Amino acid sequence: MAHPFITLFVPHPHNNHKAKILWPKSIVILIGLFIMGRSIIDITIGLRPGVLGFAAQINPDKVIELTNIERLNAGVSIVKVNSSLNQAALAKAADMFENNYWAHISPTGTEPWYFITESGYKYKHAGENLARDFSNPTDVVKAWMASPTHRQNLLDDRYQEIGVAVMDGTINGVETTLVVQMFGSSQTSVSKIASSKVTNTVLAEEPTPVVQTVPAPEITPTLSPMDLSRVWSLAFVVLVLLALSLDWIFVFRYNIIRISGDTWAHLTFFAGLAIILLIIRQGIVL
Amino acid sequence: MKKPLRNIVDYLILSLIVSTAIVLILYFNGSKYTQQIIIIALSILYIVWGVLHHLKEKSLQARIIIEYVLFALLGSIVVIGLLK
Repeated sequence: MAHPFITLFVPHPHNNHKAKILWPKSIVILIGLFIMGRSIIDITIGLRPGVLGFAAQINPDKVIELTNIERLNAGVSIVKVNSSLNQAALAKAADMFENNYWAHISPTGTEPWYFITESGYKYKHAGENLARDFSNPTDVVKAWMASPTHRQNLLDDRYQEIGVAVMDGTINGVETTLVVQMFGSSQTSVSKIASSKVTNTVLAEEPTPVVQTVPAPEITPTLSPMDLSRVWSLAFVVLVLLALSLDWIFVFRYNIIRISGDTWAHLTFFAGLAIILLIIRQGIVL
Repeated sequence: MKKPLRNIVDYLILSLIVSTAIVLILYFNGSKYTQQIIIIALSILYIVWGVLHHLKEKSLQARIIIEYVLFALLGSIVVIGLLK
């Protein structure tokens, strides 16, 4: 009788020349185990908010600097820091944590322009880019540049001023770092733009200068749910890759003839998924 | 080595599908919804590839289709689980 480990991973007469872990019922079990593990991670997040989370040190000045570098590269004039827009960005970030949402418009219908107007900034054009869960400012700006709508917002030549806020907090039980980027040009006419959607018209009034600094984010070293999920996903992909590799080697070495899917194809598919799991970035832009 | 050489075009097509998915995932990093769509498309194309490949090889059976579907399901669930 072959050792159970051998029949689990190696083609053998006792497993009909196919590793048991690659049998359809084993794949179903693997799917069940994966979902169970993910549910435990999600339940932990729900029951113990803050146990798993993400917090990063992103310098708002660096976000502005990188934004201006991208604007210069695109032949667009740079934007100047405006304390009112900084305050508006800060208020928006605080509102998202307070009301537990991640969106341009709050569940109660509050639009980004509300925070800009409240800060005393009288805008002609205004726009907002959001990001969360990034670990550094370079990745934030890169992600905005990779998204056509955010890129359009970031490189809009109508904007003359900028405000950025970085804030740590908890949304839906998960600790996270939010980056809010507000663009504006003060006075006279019209539009407001959230992730590059031009919408409305607002009459400009006298700007009211407000001096406010963006506080530096506090670092909270916690275990990121994204990292834990990535490890959990990778464990399954590596396990299947290992079993497929052994299967391919043994079938090839001993010229085993059997009714089965193409092991090389499965290997290609799962090798691709392993690469995808490694390159998926943590942050989200909105 | 005969079989892999005979199927080299099939394998190149599959490699191209997987490579394209990787490039698209990289391009759309930060947009999880788009990435989910890419993974679902990749899984469907993988099943289609499997069916066509075994049809060509005259070895297509229900159990083989089930195998491709289950591998595609496991793969897509594992990656989409990260994109939630």
